[in-house]
Amino acid sequence: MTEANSSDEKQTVIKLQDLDTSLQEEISKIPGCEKLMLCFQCGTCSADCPVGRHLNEYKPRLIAMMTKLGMKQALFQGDLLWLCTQCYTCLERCPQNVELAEIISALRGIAAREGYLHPSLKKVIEALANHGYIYEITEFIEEDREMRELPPVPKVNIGEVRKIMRMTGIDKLVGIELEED
Amino acid sequence: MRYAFFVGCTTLARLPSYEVSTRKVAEALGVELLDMEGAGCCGTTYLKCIEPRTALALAARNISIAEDMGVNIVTLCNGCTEVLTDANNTLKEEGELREDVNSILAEVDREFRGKVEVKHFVRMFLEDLGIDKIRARVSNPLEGLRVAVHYGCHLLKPFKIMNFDDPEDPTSLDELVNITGAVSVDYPGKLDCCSAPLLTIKRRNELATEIAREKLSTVKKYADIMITVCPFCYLMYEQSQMPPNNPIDIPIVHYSQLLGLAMGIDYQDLALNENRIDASVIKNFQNR
Repeated sequence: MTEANSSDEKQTVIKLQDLDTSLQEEISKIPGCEKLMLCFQCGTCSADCPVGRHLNEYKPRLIAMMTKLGMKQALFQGDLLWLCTQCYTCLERCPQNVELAEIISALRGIAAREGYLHPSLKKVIEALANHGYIYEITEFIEEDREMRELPPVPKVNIGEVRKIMRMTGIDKLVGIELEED
Repeated sequence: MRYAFFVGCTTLARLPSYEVSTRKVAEALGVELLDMEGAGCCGTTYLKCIEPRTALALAARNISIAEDMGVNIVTLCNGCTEVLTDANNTLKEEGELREDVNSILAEVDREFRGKVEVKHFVRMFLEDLGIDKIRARVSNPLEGLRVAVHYGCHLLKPFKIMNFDDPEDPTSLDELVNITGAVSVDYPGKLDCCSAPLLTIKRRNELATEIAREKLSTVKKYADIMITVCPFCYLMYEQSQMPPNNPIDIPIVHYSQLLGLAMGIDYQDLALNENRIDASVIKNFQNR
């Protein structure tokens, strides 16, 4: 691991010759993320971020810089990447059209592939694989609908959902078992 | 007018008042909402990040059901709207991706053909029904009621996908409120996110609540009620005023409930009695 990639919090100097440029190259190739290198650190994203205003350690501008510097460990640890609410305010307001929200999305994908999927998200995807919805549609819900004279909840073709999930490899990526139907 | 009705997980499982009131209003406006047999979760905004191919294929599966029905999709949830619209646009525009997704869908005997549109009901109201037609149905205007409009992020953003209204200075929902006789008030932070996605992340409940309550405290100074058009926003703002949090007493109301009242539909029939922050203040503005 290069120094720039180190998670050592005491490290304050990032040596240019130690930079890991593979992350900026990988991100810049993803549709929507092409303009990463145009970020000039003005901080519009941080100023307008609904989360950043309430949480000091969450500054989208830093995520852009850390991506450029290839600081994967620091980016992938904890829940940093998963605190973005995807409100897209940064994307709409960036004077350089950097589309940071898209870059954070792409970073989540890379994090997931490298084993850093947030455990809370694994639960959401597990629910989707189990029920076809992100919640279980319980008997209580169906009875309540009947009383309200609402039609039954559309019956998900769960076999189709699971087959699609298997074919696109989300089961292996997330680490869940999908039974063959 | 007929649409494939994509209700979405959260409304189905947690917020019947939103579905009930939308169905009542749609019926009164002559809009037929058809059930989408076999449909499921849109794919979620999360899956779009984690494995875009899975998200695209799941969205395309849902869209293909509406294509079989031969009608456009109407949605209730901002999140579903963004996920389905993004997939629909992408697959209509990009041949290679469409081939790839269709090779997956072929295994479940489905095909994305690019034949339908996806619209949130706010957009459908304005673009398909037209504001004059809705205004003509307002029989019980709610004169003097001050309404704080909350658009929610994914109704408008990102604009490159949603291509609707103006993400920085929107007017669609304000117009829809104003035709009910109520007044959409301007207030600081109107476009701020509700922060509901943070509820998914372990131990971030307090942060989400703090963000939501900041907006509610502002709304309290300017308005009698807040309206939403997304189940996530609704639940976030309602929940963050419930114990153990201190009360703020801003009723959160679905737009469909507000319009329904102005159209003369009964309070109870719109399930307004189920809103957990008592919304009966609205009754003071009826039949003045």
